[in-house]
Amino acid sequence: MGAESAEARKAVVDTSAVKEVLKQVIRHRVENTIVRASALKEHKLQEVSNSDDFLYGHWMSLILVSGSAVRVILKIHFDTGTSRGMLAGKLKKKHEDIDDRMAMDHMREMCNLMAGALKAAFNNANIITGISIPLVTSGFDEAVFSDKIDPRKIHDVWKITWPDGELACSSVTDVLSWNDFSDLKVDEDKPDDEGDGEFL
Amino acid sequence: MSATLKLDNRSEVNTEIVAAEGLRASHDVISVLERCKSSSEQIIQNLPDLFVIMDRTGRILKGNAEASKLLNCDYERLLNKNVYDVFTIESKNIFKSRISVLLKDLGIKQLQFELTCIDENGHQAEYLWTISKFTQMSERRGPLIKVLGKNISKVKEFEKKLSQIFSAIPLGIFTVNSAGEIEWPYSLYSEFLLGDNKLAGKHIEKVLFEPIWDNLDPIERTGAMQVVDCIGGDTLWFDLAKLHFPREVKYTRQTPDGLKSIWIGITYHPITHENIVEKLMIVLEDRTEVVEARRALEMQREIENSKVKKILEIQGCSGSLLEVTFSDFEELFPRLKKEIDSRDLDKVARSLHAIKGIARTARFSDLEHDVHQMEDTLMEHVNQKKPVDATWLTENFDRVRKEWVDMKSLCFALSGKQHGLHISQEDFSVAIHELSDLRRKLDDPGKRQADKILERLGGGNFAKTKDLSSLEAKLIHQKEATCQALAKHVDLEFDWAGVQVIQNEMLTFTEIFLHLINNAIDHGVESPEERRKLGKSERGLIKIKATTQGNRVHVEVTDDGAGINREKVVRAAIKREILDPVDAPSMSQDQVYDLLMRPGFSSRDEATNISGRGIGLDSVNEAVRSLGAKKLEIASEEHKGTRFSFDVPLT
Repeated sequence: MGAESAEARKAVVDTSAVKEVLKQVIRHRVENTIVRASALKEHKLQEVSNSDDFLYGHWMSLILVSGSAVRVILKIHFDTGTSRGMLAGKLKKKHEDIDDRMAMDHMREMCNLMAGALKAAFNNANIITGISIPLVTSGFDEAVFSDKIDPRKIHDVWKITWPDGELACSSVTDVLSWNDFSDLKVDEDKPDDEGDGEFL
Repeated sequence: MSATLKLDNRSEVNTEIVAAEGLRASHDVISVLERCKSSSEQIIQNLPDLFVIMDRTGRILKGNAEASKLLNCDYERLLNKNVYDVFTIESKNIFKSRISVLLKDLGIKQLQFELTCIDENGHQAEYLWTISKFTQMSERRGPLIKVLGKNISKVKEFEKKLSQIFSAIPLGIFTVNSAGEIEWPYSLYSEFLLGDNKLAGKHIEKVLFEPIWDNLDPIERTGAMQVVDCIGGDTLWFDLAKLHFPREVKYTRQTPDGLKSIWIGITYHPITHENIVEKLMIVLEDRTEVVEARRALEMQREIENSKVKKILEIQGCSGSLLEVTFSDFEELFPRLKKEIDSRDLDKVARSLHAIKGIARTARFSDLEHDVHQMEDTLMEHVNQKKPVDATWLTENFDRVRKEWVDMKSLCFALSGKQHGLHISQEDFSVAIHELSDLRRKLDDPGKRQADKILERLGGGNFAKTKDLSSLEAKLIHQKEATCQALAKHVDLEFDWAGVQVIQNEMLTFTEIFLHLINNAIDHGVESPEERRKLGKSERGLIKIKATTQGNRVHVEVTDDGAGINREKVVRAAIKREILDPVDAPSMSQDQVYDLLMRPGFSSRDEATNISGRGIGLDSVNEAVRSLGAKKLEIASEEHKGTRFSFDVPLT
């Protein structure tokens, strides 16, 4: 593609539409990953009223999907009980058989899978990204280090609930090259893309 | 071409490997940091005290296990709980006001205060709160506050128990700050001891020293003023100054039972830091019982000492002198009692003077001292013509008589006689004395009858005679005592061998000779220096001579002293308004000498315990006349001496 056509394409990119598609893609990939990786049943997606609070759980696992066109931080806000319940459900074990370390590793792995799914989605739209290692840290850290709303970034937060628990997911997307997102579409992810999680 | 391609391919692979290794290293570092962060979280979570980060509405953004315990929730459910929920409305308002102060005043880094909250069991718990601002990147959600809460319920409980113990012990304990103010807390017993139910903030000098200022001696007053000055000074200065601080003081205050005095012991304990006295801890102790017991012991010791002194005085007295001394007192005290009852003050004064003389002869110092004091006060009243209080007179007589009775009791005790004996003997003496008085008023047949009764009672010595020389030992003793007191040297010569007088008159003779000897030594015989200057022997001489001349006894007491100075006597008489100055030049020598025998006359301006009160020659003259003599004759030559003489008829 020549420079002129690129300029022309840039001129016609609707950033609001891209934002919406990005939100949907991220939510979709994250939801599918969590539901499948944790074998959740009867789950629902809920909006969060205090979407600018950032503090939604005692713990937070996070991962960065980053490339020259975009930088996305994915976070799962949870408490230990929820993570143990999720792992116990997935492994068909009792809560007490899951220790805290295993539960945390499960959330880490979930982040890993989420990031992988998102990376695949970006790949499908020819957007090359890499992923960081997943981290688990205190939910409060948000109040200290990320407690700013940057209008240039796309902030999104939602809840996934199921009969035995709930957790919050959030994302902060920083689009560095809007033009690269013209091909991004909300698509059905393939079930075999998200296999069983592996503990790091 | 293919080799170049291979090389290029290998180069790309190498670059990818290097990048992957770099990425892995970064991941490793991040993993390590994550573990470090996790450890830090663990430390905060397990802090023994409550830790919370909250916004100004009280919403918890972060907390630890102790916070969740207080809020009665799971540790991971603390987020969004409200700190204010642990307070009552009143406490919440206090907490909020402290938060406001912290946030408004930029100069305040942190605040610390005690405040009660409701614990997980619904009970009140005492907490020590420390609040400070929490720095964050964004101020979007308003200021955040870091809260540390320490459960001090147990400390408070111990403090309360300690306070109860502190208040229960019968000690006043409090501290004084550098401004001299009493600090809270203090033991409640302090309030009781100082009679003030609100001591906190009051100045130590006002509370502790002002009420007893008049009871402090000058050194203690100086010390009291230095107590507060010592706070802030070095410990060395305090150690020196505290030697003068009041240590045991008497407080008197009004109580429902009337005025009550208590003795308070005060000890001062410095609270120091780097050798500087920062505060004083003062301990008060009710020492009333201790002081009273000590005073009783001191009094008892004084009594014992007095007894020992009396015993030594008795032991220093010869048997014969004791016998005549007590015999004289047996007569003099009942006589004195009668004189006091009849309010005849001149006679009382003379009897006191006689008792004093006899006491001095026997060296009964306490008795002599007591009688001298009584005589002193009495004569002051008499001379100034002031009325003498009857109660005072009786009380002083009782005091003096008790002194004699004590001496006598001791004497009996030392001699092994029963104490009860002297009482009947005293009564017996009174009866004899009264009968003797009665005898004087009777005609000759009546006197003879009275003599027979008295003889049967063992007190009738009117027919019996006794050798005057039996008085020699006592008179020598008296002469030595007076000489010692006046620092004079006098020899006493007697010339009366075989001269006898009626035994019942021996006491009167004793009084006369004691007075005349005292008078001669005090007024007649000059000091050794003066005598030396006058060419006389340093030792003066007093001669007592008695001769029987028909049915009478002639008595002379002569000294080789200064003689009587006519001008001096006249001046003294004019000064005492006994003599009109107009009559003085025309007076004969005998008339001048008669002035000496006027009641109250003395040539001395100040009385000593020897003479000078004007009880002397008038007393002697009175005694001489009671023996039937016409009067006391006086002959004198200046610088050569004086002679007193009288003639006593033998009945």
